Amino acid sequence: MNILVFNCGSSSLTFKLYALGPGDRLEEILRGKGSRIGVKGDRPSSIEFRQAGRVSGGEARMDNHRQAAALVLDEIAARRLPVHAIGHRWPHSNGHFTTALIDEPLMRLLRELLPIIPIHHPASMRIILESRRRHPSIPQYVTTDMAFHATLPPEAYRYMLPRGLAEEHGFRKYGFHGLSFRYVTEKVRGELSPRRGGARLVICHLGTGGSEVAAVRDGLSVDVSMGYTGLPGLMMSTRCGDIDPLLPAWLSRTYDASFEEVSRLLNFQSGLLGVTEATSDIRDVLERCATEEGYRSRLALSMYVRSIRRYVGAFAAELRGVDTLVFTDDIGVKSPRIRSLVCAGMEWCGIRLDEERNGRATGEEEAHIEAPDSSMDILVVPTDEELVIAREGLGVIGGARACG
Amino acid sequence: MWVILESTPDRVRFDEAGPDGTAEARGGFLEPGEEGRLAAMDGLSGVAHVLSHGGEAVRLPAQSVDGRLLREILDGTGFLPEESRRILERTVRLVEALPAARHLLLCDTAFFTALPEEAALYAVPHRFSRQGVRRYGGDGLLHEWVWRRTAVLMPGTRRLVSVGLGNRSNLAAIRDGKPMDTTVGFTPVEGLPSDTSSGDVDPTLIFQLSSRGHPMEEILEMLSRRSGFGGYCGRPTGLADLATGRGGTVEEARRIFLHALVKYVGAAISTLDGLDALAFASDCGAGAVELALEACGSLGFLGIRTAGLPVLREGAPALLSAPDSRVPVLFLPARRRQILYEQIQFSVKE
Repeated sequence: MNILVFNCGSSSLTFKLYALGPGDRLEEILRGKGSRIGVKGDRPSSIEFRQAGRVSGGEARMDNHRQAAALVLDEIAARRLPVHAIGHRWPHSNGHFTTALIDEPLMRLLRELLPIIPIHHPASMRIILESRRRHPSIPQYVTTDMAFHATLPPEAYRYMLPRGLAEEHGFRKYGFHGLSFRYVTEKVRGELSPRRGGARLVICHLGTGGSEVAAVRDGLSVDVSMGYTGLPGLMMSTRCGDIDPLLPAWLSRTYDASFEEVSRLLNFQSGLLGVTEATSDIRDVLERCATEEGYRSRLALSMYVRSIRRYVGAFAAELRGVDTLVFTDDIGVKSPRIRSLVCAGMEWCGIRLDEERNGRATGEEEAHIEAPDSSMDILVVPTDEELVIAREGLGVIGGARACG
Repeated sequence: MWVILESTPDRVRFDEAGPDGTAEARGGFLEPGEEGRLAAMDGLSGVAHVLSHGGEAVRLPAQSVDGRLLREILDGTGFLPEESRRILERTVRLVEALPAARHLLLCDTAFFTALPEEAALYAVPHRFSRQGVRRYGGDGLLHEWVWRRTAVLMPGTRRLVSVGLGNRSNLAAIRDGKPMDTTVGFTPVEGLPSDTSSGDVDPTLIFQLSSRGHPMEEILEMLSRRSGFGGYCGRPTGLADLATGRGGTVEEARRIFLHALVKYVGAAISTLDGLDALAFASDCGAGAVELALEACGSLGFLGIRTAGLPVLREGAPALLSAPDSRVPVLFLPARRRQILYEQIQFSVKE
């Protein structure tokens, strides 16, 4: 049987089709990625398919994630590849589930959860609706990003609010990108950083849309840069990251804007886009920095790098030192320049980058990029959230497997 | 003799300036129309008006002012919070009612107007940044004082993290006397939790509370007055209680506070590319020392070694670090009155 995984990013859609082999081995048949979906920037959106070493695709109009999912499902059908189950990433379950089969009651719950992550959930929902329309009779499931962070200690996840109110509303720090952090943690501890067993890990998941840093001790997540939702933390493509909690109220009063409008502003018009007023894509920002009129891009880049460095420093202090620093996800693995800027001047916590190794690491495979005599491992690790989603699905689509 | 005025929009507190440990100083509250009480004070030579939030309008930590200069500040285009505007308008009236005295305007955010742009700005749409949405920092008079004291006690210090520990704590990263990082944002609520305010929280929860029917005023009141140590513990709780409290919610609150503090120290060091000295300044005495030592316990990886509880002598700085510590750690007893007095002496001399 074949499992299709849709991993919806805020501006991207990664997909992989796996064949389930003996011993529950998952073999990748096809994969690909839609990029810059609904993005305002210098380049058009595009989609890529890879099957048995052959790459195809190119520019494609994708104004939203529903169009992107439709393109993928069309292509899979055209290639006559059967699909027996579909797994979807769903960032925030508010504690209701880790992995769950999609049925009508679950759809109702998902609809209720839409506003918690306005930048992400509606996109995931569009993909689910399109997938259910095309494949109404096969099992589909959702997997959340939060389970890996269930080990956060209270001092890391509690907000200092009146206790009753925090409990009544479930206000706490959750953390996201858990599928990626879990994959990377296992990879690092199992294979890549055996010297010290990766006891104290700082992982920078730098995506094209959302980005997050996690602190991991002995394989367990102990802190994250995001919060109750994916809005706080690092400066992102269109999300503001950390701001004064009273700022939304001031903006609402001063500009006579509703909270819905302010929320849209902080989720969709801030971050790199807000500062540059031109692009939400860090790759565009890097290119524009070199131009004479690139002042706003240089400012945006300084702010972006600074926000990552402050979290690396904060988590180094929290972990009382770092054994392994990891860069993952699109920007993390493909941008030597960003890695170099993040690491510069961070010798105080043991970070010593080898610029040449860093320049050679462009994201196809795992790489060590620390200086040869460094006491810390610095790693580039392509993440694989889809594999984690596919594995998670094996538990809930059990009944369907016999039919495959 | 100098008088220090610290105001909220609703009232003015006045204190006779003087070094710490001087005899019981004259002080109290001025009601509207009571400016004459100041004029009647024997030997009044000057008045120091302290403004906690000068926005973009007040860019000097200490400056001599008269009515004309204050009006220029009020008429300027830079952002000034509404409360501060009301305070400055009253300051104009006070200054003009006391023409014989010298007047100084001291401002707690001015030090941080020199923050690098990438440190000061939020990643929000640029049009808001142009209209004054930025990090203003806090307790600048304290942090500058800490910088000056550290420069005397630890000559050669270039990169300093200065932690103000109190019911309202915050920290500053300072390089060569210039601010590089602050935990205080657009308002004092951002950053470390205080006795009554939440510190950093996901702003989304404001939207959630609002959509569940809570009025905005109630939400703001909750975040700034009913949260923090007291809100968490369910009873009035200050920094001193946090230091001595064991067990239950007070202990939890202490752990949350220290967790945030240690993280902010690490974040601040990242903006300095390293650390030459760490200083804690507080008027909370032994309790603050205990919390500072506990925080230092997490910073061993920086080569920080502490020497155990120091003997605190009234008003005297204490070294918390052991002789083999790679980074010296200072504890500076910091009375606001003393700091303002020294600032006045310093400004008058110039």
